Amino acid sequence: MHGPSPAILRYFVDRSREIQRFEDMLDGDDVRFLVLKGDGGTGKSLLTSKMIDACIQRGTAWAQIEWSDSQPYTYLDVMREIRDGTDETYFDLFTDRVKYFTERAYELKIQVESGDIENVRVLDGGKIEHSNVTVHVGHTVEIKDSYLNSLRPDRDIEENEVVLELTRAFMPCLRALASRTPIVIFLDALEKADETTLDWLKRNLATALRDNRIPGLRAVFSGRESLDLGSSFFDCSLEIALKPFGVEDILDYLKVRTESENHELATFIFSQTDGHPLDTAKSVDHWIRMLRQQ
Amino acid sequence: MSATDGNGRDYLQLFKQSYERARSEGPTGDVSLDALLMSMTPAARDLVLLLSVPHWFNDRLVSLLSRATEPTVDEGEAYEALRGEIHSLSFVRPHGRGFALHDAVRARLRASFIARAPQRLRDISTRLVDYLAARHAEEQREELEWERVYHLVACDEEQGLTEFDGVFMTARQARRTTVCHTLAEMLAEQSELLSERAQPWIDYYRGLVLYDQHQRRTAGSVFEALAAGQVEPPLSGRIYLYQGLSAEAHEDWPRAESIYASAIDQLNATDDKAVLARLHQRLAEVHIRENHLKKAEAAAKRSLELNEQTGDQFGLALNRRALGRIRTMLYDPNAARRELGASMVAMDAAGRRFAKATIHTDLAKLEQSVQRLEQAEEHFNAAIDLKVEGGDNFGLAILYADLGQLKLIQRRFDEAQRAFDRSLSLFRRFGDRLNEARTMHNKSLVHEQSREVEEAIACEEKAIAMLADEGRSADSFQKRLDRLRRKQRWRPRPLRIALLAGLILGLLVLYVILYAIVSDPY
Repeated sequence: MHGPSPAILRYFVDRSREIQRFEDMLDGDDVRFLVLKGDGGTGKSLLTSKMIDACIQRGTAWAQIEWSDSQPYTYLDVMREIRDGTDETYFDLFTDRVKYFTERAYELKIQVESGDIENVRVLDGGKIEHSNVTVHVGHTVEIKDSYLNSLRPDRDIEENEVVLELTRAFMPCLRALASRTPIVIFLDALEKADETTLDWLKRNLATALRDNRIPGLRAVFSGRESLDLGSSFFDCSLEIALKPFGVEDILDYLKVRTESENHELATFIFSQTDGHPLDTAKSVDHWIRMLRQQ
Repeated sequence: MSATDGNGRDYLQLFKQSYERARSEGPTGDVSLDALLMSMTPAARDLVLLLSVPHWFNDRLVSLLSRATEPTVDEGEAYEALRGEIHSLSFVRPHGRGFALHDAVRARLRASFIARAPQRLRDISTRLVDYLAARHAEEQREELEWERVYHLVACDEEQGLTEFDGVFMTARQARRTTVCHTLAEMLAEQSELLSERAQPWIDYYRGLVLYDQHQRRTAGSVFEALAAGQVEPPLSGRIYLYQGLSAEAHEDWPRAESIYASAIDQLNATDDKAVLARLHQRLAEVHIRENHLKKAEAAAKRSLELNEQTGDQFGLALNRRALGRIRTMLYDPNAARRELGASMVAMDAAGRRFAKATIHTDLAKLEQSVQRLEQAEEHFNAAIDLKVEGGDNFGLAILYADLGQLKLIQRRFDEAQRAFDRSLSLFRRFGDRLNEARTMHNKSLVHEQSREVEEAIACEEKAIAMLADEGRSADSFQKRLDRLRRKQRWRPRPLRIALLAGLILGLLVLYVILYAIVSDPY
């Protein structure tokens, strides 16, 4: 997966407090996910990009899912993005089941004969261990997702069962990967996600983080509203409300973009934008353009 | 960069003046955005406005739309400069399909565009429709089709809404609720470009999304509000249908009945046989619930007539099923069998193989009710086979529970327990504590019938605990548990049995002696 564009990061205003909290989360164990909250244009996506950059610098695996007005990400898309953004070799069990529920006439290649699929251990190289029996997928078996989105037409499986089974196949894979390398999942613009997907994120991802069922996994949820998770999540999460810029922040931003200090300009921009990051960026675009034209 | 030039002009003063101009003359009402736009070249300013029409853009789209700018800039150095100017804007961000404007900026620009030049926006939408149709033909990506239909709604309302309905219903039939949610919101974005007549469609689709997300109460409110407004067929029929279904979801049968009856009255004069057939069928189902069997039969038959006219085989199958259930409740098993058999045939004709499991279940319950238990078992097994083939494990859990009940009636207690155990393990997998509790209660019944009172008590206690976990009342289960415990206390112990046997034997011996004494003349 590609990292954030250098052009975006170049103009990043110092959000060192927020970045420090992110770094603390990666280094510690108490806080396992952050919630970035702020209105449109307050810099959530840019801050997320900076956090992704920090992951890249650290060599930490990461995956990002960003909702938009025309892009409907479902729980399945979220799981697929996490798989594709990290190491898909750990997710054969999951991919096998995705194909089973979406491809006509597909037969499972990885059978978990007895017991609970959630107790499967995913090992290196695509091996799966369950009840001390190793099921070796083998190099001759290639399981590639066809990225179909509808349930297969030759079965009659209820959606809620599909959600359950795919999630139960996904979690051991994620757990195995996270035990080998820390992973951070970034979920951006959650105000555009639909109720069903939000519900899945809360019931599965957020509770797995709360209960520390996947050590090594961390997440950043971003959106215009609080997630409304309940008090049991207080100890393991931290909500960060992005504040508007102050004059000094705007001055720093001007220095980065224009290589000059102009306190009077920063004060004026602050008076016109109330420190709103997006409006500040537009103002500085305007200033730069005006200077070039003059 | 310096704030003054060699001529001593104060750029900051110029900058401040530009804000004053933006405040008084700006097109969008967002001062920072307007000041920026007013500082751009006319072609760049115009292009930014045009780029607010699609949700995303790439170089091909930029090139396409630059040919529509005023003045047109579509080639050479001027075009490259224009393109560079766009990409340098801080509110242009990466998108999966290229780039997108920040949604707050896009919303402002679109609103301004709609207010000042709606016809031009429609013209741009027309170009985008053609472009996206060509791209979709190349790539076959569904999101291109969604975007195309989104723009079609803006430039050709009637055709756009027709195609939108097709795209939405296709996603809905595939149970892609998230896609439906996105499509509904995309349509809502176009509300200012739609006529008054078209506005209710926006809330209708939102209501469907809520309904499919099981937010039935909120969905019901949406449909109520729509029904109270001036809505014409064919939309009105659909609204009434979902208004009624929302009431049914809350088991408000009288309300559902009233909605369907009123809707039928209003729509009888229209030619929308398909919707009328569904309304009659739902009315029949509600009457069945209320045990108004004559009315149910009349409604189902009327729906049948309409479905025969439209050739809707699935509708016919549902009608026949309803009639079969009515006949079952009227203790007319032969007629019930005929109707349910006809339903089975219609399901096959409709290609709804897996839905036949429901008919088999109805037939099983019919046969069970007339004590033809072997036939009942055959139908349950046929339903189970279909569920296994279809992979519907939740449906299978329910069927195993039904089969267990049958085995209990047949006094095949081991088989009953096996069926209930299968049911229990499936419900457990789904975390369905309510049905787990019911199944555990049924297991208790089997144990009691097998004279295993301790086991019966243990199962009933577990069932009660499960209901308590769910915050549900367990009164009836508790009463049964109390009875079982009394039974356990009064159950004869071995010593009591021996004493009782001894007493009976003693009494018998005494009787024989007395009889002998009385009957002996000597």
